[in-house]
Amino acid sequence: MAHLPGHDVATVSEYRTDTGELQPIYEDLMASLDGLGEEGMVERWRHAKREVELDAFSFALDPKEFRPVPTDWIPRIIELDEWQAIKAGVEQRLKALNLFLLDLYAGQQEVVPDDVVYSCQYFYPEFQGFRPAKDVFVHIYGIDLVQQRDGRYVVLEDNLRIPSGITYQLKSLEMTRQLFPELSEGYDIVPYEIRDTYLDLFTSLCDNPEPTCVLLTDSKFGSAFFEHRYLSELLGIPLVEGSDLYIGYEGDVRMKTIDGDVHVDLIYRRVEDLEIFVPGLTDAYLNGKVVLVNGMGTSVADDKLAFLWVPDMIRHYLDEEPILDQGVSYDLDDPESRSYVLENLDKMVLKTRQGYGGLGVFIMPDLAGNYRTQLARQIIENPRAMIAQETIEFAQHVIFDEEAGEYDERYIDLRVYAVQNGRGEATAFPGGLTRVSRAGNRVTNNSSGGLCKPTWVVR
Amino acid sequence: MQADLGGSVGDAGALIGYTYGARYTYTDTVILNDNFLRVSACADAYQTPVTSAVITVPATRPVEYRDRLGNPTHRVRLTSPHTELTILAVGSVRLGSPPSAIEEVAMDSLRYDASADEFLSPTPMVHPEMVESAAREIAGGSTGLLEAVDSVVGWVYENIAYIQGSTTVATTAEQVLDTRQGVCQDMTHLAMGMLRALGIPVRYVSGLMSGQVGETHAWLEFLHPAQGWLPSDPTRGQFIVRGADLVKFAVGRDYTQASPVEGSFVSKGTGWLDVVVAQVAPSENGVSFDDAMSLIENAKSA
Repeated sequence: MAHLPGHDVATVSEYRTDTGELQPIYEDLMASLDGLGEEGMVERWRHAKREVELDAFSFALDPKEFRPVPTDWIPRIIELDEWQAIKAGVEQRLKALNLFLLDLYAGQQEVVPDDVVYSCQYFYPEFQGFRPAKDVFVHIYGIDLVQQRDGRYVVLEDNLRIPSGITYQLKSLEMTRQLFPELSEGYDIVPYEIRDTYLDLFTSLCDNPEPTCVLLTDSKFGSAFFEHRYLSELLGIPLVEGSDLYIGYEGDVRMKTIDGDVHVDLIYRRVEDLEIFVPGLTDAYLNGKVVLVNGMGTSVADDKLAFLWVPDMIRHYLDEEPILDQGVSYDLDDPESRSYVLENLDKMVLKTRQGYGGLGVFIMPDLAGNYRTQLARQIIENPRAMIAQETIEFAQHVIFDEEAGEYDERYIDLRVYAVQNGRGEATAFPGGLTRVSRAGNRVTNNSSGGLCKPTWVVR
Repeated sequence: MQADLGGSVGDAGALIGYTYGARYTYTDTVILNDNFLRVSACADAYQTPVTSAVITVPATRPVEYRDRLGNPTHRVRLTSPHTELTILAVGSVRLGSPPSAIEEVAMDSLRYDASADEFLSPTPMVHPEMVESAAREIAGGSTGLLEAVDSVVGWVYENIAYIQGSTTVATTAEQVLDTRQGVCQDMTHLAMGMLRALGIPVRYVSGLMSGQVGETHAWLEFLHPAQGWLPSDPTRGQFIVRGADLVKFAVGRDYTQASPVEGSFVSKGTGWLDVVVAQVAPSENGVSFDDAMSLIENAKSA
């Protein structure tokens, strides 16, 4: 039987109490794992790894190399009442972000300083006056949370462009059910369903009651192709590349098919540079000829600097207090904040303003001194290139390292997905994708090479 | 010391018109062109904007705002295919009344609050520590603020040769000190680095100068503890010039924050700034876009 690592009181743990005992909710699960024994676990982990490979369940870091999604099979468990608070906070945040975007493009927003929004690379001035279908810009939302020592979840980032990974959550739940049936004994797991919710979302955005919807992928060689294929099969909508679409004489989007060309009502787009993939698509979108999920121009609201004002958006647009806390962040272009950050640099995380996927993140407590000097210099010379956040002591979880045949602890975050439909309803899917950092690292993004873990919400 | 306050095109209260035009040409189709324009007159003690307008050809819908330093900024983003981009800015300012006398302040009594720090710190193109020893040699003995500014600006004017094309938009202050040549941007950066090294807060100014038709101008402003930001022009060796011959567009910690056009484009080809026109002249009626466009066409054919 494998033994849990020794407990360090300095570690924030999600599955143990402060004194190192298992949280009660994890007792049955860990007992089931003990029942497998160390050799049994190694065997099952290896088997699962082969299944992942056979299923081409992958996220490629390098397009020439097949890379199965590295998965740890010990589920992360969130209890229902804890989940309800997260869910309410996520839905609140999504609604406020959508209202902000609508006010920014079609109104006169006054929540975020002009200089911040208009200097953002992803603000599109030519969209001023545009209202998307049913006034919703962000339909599918990904939010990154971590759990603090006091048990509260805190927001690290919003993802409003093409948040990826929802299929990893689906797939890891499905595989856990099939390959580790004994683990769920004694647990009432809230099902994770996205098909009907997505199809309802699409229909709610279109005037046509039976819309033609397609999923636009970058290519078979893209890093998230597994996800694109999986989603198109799950939703029963065609998977297309840019060259399959064109703009017709009436300015609408058309898809080439062997039975002739058809009008497209909605593109669930999983690519960034739409105009490069489908020339003329921006105009078709602005003229209301096609619905894009997510819309264009959304990323001005998940800019790492605009993040500082999201709590104000919630207060302003919803007249509510934010349910979820967020990481304390600093605008380095503000002289007072800048000198505070420079004086407390050792406690900060620096993030490149428009980076994503864990790139351009510098965790100062983990960095060597000469890096610190260089970064301090960069802050002074070019303060708008980065933002600073207070380092958050967040929770670790247990994984099973099948090569060493033992348990280990790693940092985890939680990416929750939510949708907002054409009726204005926001709904978070239960749980989400738990991402696990690499050993000795706190960055959990898949594109930074971490693991993922199934996440259960239990009643 | 009594400073020369300059003044050539008009007196306080006079209306001055300005025109700025730039045409970028590309070797292949551009599908995305995203630019920040700082080509409208800003407000200060020396000028009050009266009219201002900015257009581009091809046309797009810009957004107009003030950046943190108060500079009027236009963001223009073009997404329809093009091979040429023309930017036109026209406007007018009413001349203000600059201070008639400027008081000397002893260097050893210079005190500034924390808000001045960012104008003393290194910036991407101005690293004070790299030009500090030269600054000390030139003005280390100056006992007064005005005397120090005068020494530095005078030294830059006399020792840096004004040579078009000798530097690029990326040349740093220390490189200018090294090669002893440059244009107005470079001379301004070098003087800024030296003044910062002496503990004098200083910022970059971009704008137009009458008589200089084919380019924008750059000068600097230093912070006087009692009288605020005061102009000085290293390119012309003039200490505290800011007559009616200058129209100010923007200030920045260095060129990177104040450049008239800052942007990027997506194309398989390359692009370059083909024509620039700039005009400052007394004008009761202002300048029209047609006038501005013909300036560009004439400059192009000439």
